[in-house]
Amino acid sequence: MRANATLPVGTYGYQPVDLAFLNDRAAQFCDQVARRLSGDLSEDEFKPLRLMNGLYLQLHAYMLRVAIPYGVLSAAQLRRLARIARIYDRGYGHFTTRQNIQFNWIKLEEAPDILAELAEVGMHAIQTSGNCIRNITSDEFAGAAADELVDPRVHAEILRQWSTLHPEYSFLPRKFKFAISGSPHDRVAARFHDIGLIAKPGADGAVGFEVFAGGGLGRTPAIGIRLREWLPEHELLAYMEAILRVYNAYGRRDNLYKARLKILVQALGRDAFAEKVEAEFTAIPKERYRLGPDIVEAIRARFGKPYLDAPEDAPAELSKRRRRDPAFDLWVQTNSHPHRAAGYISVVMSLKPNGGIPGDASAVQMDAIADLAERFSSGEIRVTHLQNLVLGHVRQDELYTLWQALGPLGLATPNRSLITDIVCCPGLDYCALANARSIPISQRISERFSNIELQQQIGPLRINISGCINACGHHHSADIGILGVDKKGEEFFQLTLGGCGEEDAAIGQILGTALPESEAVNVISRVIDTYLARRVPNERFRDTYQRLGATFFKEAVYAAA
Amino acid sequence: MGLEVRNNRRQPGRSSIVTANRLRDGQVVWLAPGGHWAEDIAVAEVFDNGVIDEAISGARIFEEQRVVLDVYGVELDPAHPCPVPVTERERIRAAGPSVRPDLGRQAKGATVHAS
Repeated sequence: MRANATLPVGTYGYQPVDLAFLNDRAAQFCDQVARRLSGDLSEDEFKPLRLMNGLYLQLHAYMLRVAIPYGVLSAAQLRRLARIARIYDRGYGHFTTRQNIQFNWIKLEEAPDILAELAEVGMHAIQTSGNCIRNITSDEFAGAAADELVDPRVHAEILRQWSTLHPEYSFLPRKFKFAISGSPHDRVAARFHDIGLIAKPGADGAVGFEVFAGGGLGRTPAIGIRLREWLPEHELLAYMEAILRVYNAYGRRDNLYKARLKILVQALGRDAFAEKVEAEFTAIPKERYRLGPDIVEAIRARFGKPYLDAPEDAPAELSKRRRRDPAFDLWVQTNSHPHRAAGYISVVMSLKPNGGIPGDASAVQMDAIADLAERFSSGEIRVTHLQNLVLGHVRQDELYTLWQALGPLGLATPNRSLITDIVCCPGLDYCALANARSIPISQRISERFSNIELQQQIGPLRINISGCINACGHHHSADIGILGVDKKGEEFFQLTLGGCGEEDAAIGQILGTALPESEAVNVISRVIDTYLARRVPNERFRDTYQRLGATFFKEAVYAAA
Repeated sequence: MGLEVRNNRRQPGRSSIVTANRLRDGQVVWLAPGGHWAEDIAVAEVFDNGVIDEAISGARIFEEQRVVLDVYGVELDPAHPCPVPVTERERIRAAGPSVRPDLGRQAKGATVHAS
């Protein structure tokens, strides 16, 4: 497929000044590592510097978290990630719930070389750690989805440029997470972010935003409050400044566990918090922070656009293939998403094979996906916050050939949004903070429900797993959430039911006492049995749960034990 | 539960070893007799819990010398004749990820395995 410009499709095209900045940043880190190894910097002095470059110390080695702004990658960038996995790591990477990628076996002395290699392709590890505005996440179908009203990547990039190295927001009370969507169907969990933005057109066609604030997961899950039903585009940055300034001024710095914006919103109350934001907003010089259409268009112009030229018979060709091949039809049914352009479709490449490790991709797979992206989707790949990968712009008459290529790579599992499409943090197998292993229980569940007909019968159902209360696996926002806990050195798992990360956001409620792994998997099976026995036709799990109540599910599940 | 609490749970009468991560590459290492750091837990020097705090303090000199970082003690399971940590976390550190037996010390025939 051809692209209609020299700019990369789907990602912001960096200019020489941007690339020079990344090279300078890599050189700075090279010097910082040298000073650490020579003893000029102590670990206390060095740790904040390495974290500002995404370098953590985890269980087995250093872990490098590389930023993937709003989850979009070019084929060249994915090939570079594959190279890093192969040369500097152990041949694989882990895609995260913030649309980033982590490498688990990094050597400190090689980290500067990796940053230099990333800079060559316009990548970095900035804003992937520390108390700053973290990588801004967005809709994996941005710019492609049939139901999209505004392409959120343009404003995600504006927010990225506004927030990177912002002097006021480099040392916030705690980390700060944005998500932005341009579709009425919330695919970004906007209400579970410090700031969630839903871009939409107004009556006159001008862009504005619905603004949520104070949402989050972690040890104190909270659904964000709606601060504005409509924020005009030109006031976006001024209003974001106002929220961040209130947080910076009033957010707690004395207690790590009470430092997030959600705690401030709860402490002040919705109205008092909103009053402070509006007062700050009133005081801000609007012209200085005005986001005019000229700026928006200049940013938009740096995004390459896909060349959408499907033949008229592309849909008919897809229909023919689906009729002839039931396995292909099943995959299209589960793993595709409607495209805005006639003859095109978006597809989800599942990183959740039966019994696999959710979110992991090998260097071989990454290289192959880069090739397929160039051949079938304008050279662009998206990372989802549900730990899968997406090709956004595939011609419908070419989808069968793509599917045939994905199968041998282990990337054609037809399970998107089904019970085995499990979101899972690295857990105790890798993470220094974890209390329990999250991957093995995800594998047991995946194996238990591997029958695709059973998965289809159950229907859309989300299981999310976190290895500790920090909730990187977003367990509170799933139909079935699993939280690993430590009981005197033993791994136990606490189950929650009824969570949802979409526009009807809900926090999952604890089902009962924490259980050992094998019992937890059995209890989940009984939860599913109960759902299948008691649901009415086409009723989602969450609706059945709400209709019957938490007590009903608890009694049904534990009585059968 | 904080890492400090988790890393310092010890019972009287049991034994512990000293661990850290190597500065240059982050590799998990164990303090061995003679004051060197080994990648194989099997050769770690075993201390009675009554003297482990002293051993940890002594090992911090290697942090100052930029050999390792994050020195702490790891209690051993008395049911095993060779050094096997009590906690799953430390068994995973000693062996490698339980979900990737091809990686870590377990891939080189380590004596400790995650459960």
